[in-house]
Amino acid sequence: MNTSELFSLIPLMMVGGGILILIPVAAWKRNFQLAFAISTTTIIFDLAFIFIKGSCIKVDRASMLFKTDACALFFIGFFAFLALGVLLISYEYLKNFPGNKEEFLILILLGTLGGMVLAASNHFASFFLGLEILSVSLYGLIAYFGRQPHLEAGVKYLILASASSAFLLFGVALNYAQCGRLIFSGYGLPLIFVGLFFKLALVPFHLWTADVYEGAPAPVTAFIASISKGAVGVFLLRYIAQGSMNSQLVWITIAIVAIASMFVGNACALLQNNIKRILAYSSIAHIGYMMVIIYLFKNYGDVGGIRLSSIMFFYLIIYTLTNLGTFGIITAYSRWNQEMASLDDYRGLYWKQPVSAMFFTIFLFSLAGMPLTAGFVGKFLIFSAGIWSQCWWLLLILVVNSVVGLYYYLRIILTMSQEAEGRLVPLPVRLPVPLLISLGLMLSAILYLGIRPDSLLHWIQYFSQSLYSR
Amino acid sequence: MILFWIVIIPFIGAVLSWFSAAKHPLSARWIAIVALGIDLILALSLAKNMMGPPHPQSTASLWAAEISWDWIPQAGLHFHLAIDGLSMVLVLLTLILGIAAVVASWSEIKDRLGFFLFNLLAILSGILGVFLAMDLILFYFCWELMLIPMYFLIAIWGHENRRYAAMKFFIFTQAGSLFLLLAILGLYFLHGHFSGNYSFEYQDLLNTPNQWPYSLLFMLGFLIAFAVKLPIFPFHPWLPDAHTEAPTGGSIILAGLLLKTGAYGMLRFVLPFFPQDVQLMAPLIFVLAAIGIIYGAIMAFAQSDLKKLVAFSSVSHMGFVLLGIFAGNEIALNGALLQIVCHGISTGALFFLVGALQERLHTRDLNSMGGLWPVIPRLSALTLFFALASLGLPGLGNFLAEFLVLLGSYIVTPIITIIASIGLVYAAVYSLRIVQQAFHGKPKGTPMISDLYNREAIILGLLISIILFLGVYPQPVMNLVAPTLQQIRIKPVDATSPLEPAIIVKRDVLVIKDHS
Repeated sequence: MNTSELFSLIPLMMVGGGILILIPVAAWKRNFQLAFAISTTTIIFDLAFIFIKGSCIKVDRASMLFKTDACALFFIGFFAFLALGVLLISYEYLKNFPGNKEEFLILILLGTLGGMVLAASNHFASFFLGLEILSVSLYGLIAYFGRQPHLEAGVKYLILASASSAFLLFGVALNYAQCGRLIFSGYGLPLIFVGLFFKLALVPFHLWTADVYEGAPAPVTAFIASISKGAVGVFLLRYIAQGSMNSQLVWITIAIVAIASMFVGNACALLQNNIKRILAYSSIAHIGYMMVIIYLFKNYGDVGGIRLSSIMFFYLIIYTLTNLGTFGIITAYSRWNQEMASLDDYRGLYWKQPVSAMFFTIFLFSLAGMPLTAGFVGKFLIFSAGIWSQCWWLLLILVVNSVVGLYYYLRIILTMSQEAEGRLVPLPVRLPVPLLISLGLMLSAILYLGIRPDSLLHWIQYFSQSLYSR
Repeated sequence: MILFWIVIIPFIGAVLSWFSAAKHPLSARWIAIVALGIDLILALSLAKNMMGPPHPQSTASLWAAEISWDWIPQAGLHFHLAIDGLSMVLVLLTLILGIAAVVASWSEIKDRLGFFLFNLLAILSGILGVFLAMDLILFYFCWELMLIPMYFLIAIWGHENRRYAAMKFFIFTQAGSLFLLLAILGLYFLHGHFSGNYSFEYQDLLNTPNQWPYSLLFMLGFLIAFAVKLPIFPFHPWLPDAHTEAPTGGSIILAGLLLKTGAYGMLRFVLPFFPQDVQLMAPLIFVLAAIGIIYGAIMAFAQSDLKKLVAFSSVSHMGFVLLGIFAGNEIALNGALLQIVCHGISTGALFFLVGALQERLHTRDLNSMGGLWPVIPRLSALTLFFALASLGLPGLGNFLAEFLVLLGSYIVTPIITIIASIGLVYAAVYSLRIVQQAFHGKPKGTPMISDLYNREAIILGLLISIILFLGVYPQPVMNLVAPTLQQIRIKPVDATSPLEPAIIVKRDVLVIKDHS
């Protein structure tokens, strides 16, 4: 490994370094403000490095394990941005927790590092490493506060995620048995897909989603919905770009999984009365929409692949941003010992907290795909990809599902606009500043991308090409 | 630039009145009125230019004013607004009814006035955008943007069953819009594929080559979206609920303007984009239009809820618009356009009056009204006037509109026209029922209630004068829209078709003569 390769790994190492500083600091003197400051500065430095020095990184591949192409760099930066958002929303949530708070921050940074490794991995070893760093820190995060719903969700996630990791490992082993190496190839693909689909929560591997989303502390749910999903999504695209998927059966499976996810996700979301559960099922449906894009890869070689990848990336980006925003709102009204996730809790939010209700509305509209928000651009791009490929039946299913999806988003908005009589949970009078910053960042990103998506699309198109350069 | 201001001024007014409402409710209402007034003056000044001496047939564009800014040029997206006669008429209608809606909610809305006015004016901005946008994605944006505030308007300030109605309204229209989006994208790729120029521009897409199976598909996409808005018969169930549950101002905008965006879309996009497929689909549409006319009228007669009655009458009247549009010759199109304007005004006014009645009586139930004429003579007389307008009394705009539609469509489809004209009889039945049951007969324990206030009377007087004017002398409006209708009318497939000469002969017979 030479210096330029080492240089290209700095974005990853910085986060790791931050964690290494945080651990002794937490051990030496417990000070939440200090730990929070260290973790946010780490992330901000990481972001700044990628922003300023990112263009200096010339090597495409740092060692056998990592690719540090434009795509990896972008997503390392993007996950750093999301991690910043998660950190900012969890500040107030954690503040009054009587136990140890610093480890929470360490685990979030660790999970983010796992996501970054996933985005840059070019080898099954680094892939598995990244995935496990991500998962293991999630086990800790979900159960962090040690109370009933958290523990239950944590154990559920632990058992199911380990099972899926076993499948994944089996797939990797098959790949190794065929190739004698751990590079990406088409062997063992079904088993690897099982592992990935589990993480993405696609039907039929979705059963954990609603329970974990509901049981996990709100900022952790935000983390799962944004960084965890995003990292696996990026990896999936990388894997598809590298591995050969020439079996007809795989495509049929993807189509079935996509359709089933859309229908199951939307149908189940209709029946829920808990916002976290609604959003969990809606996330299943959204990943289903993304799988539609993956299905369209079927008909195209590299050129179409670049185009479709950029659409998928765009959707992934706006979806994670929006999700972080929505869960940010839920975090604003929740504390470590009390989650405010029931739909009834939000009755009359418009009249009591107009600002955060506005935020929430815009995030929900983005999820529903209304114009002026980034969600619309995402839907627009999926539609255009579908028409471009003349995949009419899939488009029809997509339209039907979008309409069903509207119902439960509108339901949340309607509830917020109702009169509130005798609310039980007292609302905080004003939103804490860190949270407001985080929500503001997400909101402005969503609105900006909704009006001028071209700048980001341009970038994405550029780095999608690097995905296909072998 | 003036077009940009026309679209944006209501929105500026919306924001201003939102912020001022908390401290000065009255000033917020006036800000709304003034913003719309300024907009109206701007639009009228533009209209005056357009009404000027007919300039020689220049090959220059149809538009009287136009702006086009780059938005996302790589994808062929532009911020392109343009106005021609058709758009102008609808813009004027929008602004007048917008003012009426603000006045109608003057004393009705007291809670959360700021947000109410914001939504109301934001809808108007969206509607103006719909009428002016010449880039299809911009059109779609505005199409959606008028939806969201309308949803809030119904959901927050509506009557008893408002949540259900708001949800139904949103889901129906949004489902339609998604098909519209698909169709727009399809057209975009089809046009781009053949010409190499990927663009969402209206003028570009007009020249899309006709690829049979696709054009039919895309036309259906457009048609479904507009059919939900208009509404065409099987797509109408959202309408009675939404109109009934909305607050008065919302009902006026729904009936007077939102339905018209559907008609506008058909005129502007469906007819010119897919001339062949329109002719293919026309027989089916005629049947649906006739069903809509008769069904709406019968349902209207069956209602005892006054608002629902007026709402179903809209279904019936919109059937005439549909018939006129798809008959496609100039007479029918003129009739359809007049019907759009006159129905917008007369039904808007009826909703205004029903709202005023409800505010005074706290009920909309016809059965619990009676003998109101001596108590509130002004309100009663005005209701009679608009009921007569709605049933198509000769001399009023609605009569001329429906007459022209029937005349034009008779050439194309005589049987359907005959069935449709039965709707006129029904219209008389349900319209007069309003007047008879509410204002005549024995008083039913009517409390002392106040008659129309001056501000209400003034705005209704304005609407009356427009209806009268259009009924007696519709020529200015027809001149305004003539060039556009010329372009979009359905041209016969071949010259030997009996369609064209018949129209020409009829046109000479008709009263619609130019400056002679």
